[in-house]
Amino acid sequence: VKTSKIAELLSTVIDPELGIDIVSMGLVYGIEVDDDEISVAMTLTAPMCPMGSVMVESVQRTLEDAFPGTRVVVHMVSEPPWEMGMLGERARRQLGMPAH
Amino acid sequence: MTARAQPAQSPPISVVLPFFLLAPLGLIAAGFLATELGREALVAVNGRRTVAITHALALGWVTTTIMGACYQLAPVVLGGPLMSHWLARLHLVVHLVAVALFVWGMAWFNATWVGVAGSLAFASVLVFLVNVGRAVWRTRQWSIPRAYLACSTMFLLAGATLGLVFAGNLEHRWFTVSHGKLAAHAHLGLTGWVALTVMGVSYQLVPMFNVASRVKPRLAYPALALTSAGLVLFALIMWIDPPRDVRLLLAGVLLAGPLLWSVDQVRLLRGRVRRRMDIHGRGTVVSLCFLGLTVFLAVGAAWGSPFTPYAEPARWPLAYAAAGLLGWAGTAIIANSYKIVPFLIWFHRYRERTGKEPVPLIRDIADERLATLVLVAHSLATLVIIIGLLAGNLQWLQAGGGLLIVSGVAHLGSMLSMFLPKRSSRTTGVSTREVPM
Repeated sequence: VKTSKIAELLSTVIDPELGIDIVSMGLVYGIEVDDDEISVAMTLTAPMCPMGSVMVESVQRTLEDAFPGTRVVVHMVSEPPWEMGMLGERARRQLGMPAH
Repeated sequence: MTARAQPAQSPPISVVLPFFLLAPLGLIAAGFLATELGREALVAVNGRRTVAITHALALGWVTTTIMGACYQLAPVVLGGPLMSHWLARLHLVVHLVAVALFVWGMAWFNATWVGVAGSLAFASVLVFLVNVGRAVWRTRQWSIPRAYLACSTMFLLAGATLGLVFAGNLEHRWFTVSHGKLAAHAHLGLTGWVALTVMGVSYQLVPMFNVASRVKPRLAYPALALTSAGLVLFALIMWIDPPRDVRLLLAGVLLAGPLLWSVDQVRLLRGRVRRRMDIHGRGTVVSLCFLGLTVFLAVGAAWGSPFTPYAEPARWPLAYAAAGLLGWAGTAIIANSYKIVPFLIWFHRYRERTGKEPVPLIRDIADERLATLVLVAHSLATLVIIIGLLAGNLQWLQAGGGLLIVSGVAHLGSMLSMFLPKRSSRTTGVSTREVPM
């Protein structure tokens, strides 16, 4: 399993409030792959966001569907806190912000 | 800092949603009562119709909505569970019976029924506090919303206790009711409970919905401390009906907290990443404008109704109350309702389907144009009522009541329309899981 393939799959998970994928939003901090486990570190744009659990479930469902039999663990990370500089170009366009 | 992601603790939709759907009935009832207001409403703030209207709004609309929001936000945002979902359902029944009895009892004056309603309203507050108490008081993690809610729930208890005393006093005549005593009760409820809750929750919701996490609030705790301390001082001193200079000083202390809070809110809005404002952003801006009007009218009310020196002294205090309750808190509540209710419907209808099939976005649940129409109609109704009160013009006041009915019905209708089936707006690429090409 390649991390680039996982990142591609995660870019199909959309924040249901903003309508932007979590990779473009810069919410995915890290992906680690062991033999039988995929570990994703991600954050939220705001602490205690009620959408957090939905996005975590969506990440888990997406990866478990793509890699049956592999354990998927999602870690919620609060450091460093998410900030505007983490937005990708696609997300900036969708939010109506100027490009970098 | 990392943590294994935990499942959501969102309560069942049947616990929270009825609060939001039944609350606009208070707005509509207040509108109907306002269309029949007479000249006496401009003379005394405690006319029976006026008290019925203020409680239809404060308890019926605003408090019902806020209590529903607390049942949703306390477990999710504060991280502590409710004591019981069934207790929340029972609470709603007790609360609605109390409000209906109180408004009816005051409007067609019946002291006995007002006493019964006051007791039920007090019981409703106790049940609510017991139910959310664990989330507010016993969770480990402190946050700004939690600090505000901890204070606001205490002021709710104080305001309800005083309200119960006033309700009993109608029949038993223990003491003479004065303008200052009424102001103490009203401010404990409206500033202590309503305003502090709206202020605290906004520190969570405004950055979240507008994506403004890079802006750190600087004035949250000073605003909370000033408002709380100012309110305790206000309630104690107003009880003895102080002279104008003292009233103005108290107004200054009491208004300092909300003004500091508004500075933080403006900073959060200016620093938002989401450039195009949605209904929540627009509602927040309108709400802040009404706060400015509330501050101006509060000073006038504390001064002693300027420009109406010899008659109808209730004009300025009532205009101030309308600006604060209908304007500042009301528009904030409308703005938040169009985020919380769609979220609830989306969460319970589509959450399990995300990652499996295209589903609508949360913004597809509510009709943005209808929500904006409600916000405009409500703001207009509030302005017409304020103008009617300040000018002493009954026709404007009654017209404002009519507009309030229209905005209340539109608000209720727009929330019911959110239950209609929604399509995924695929043209904007918004399914929660798009199929990779």
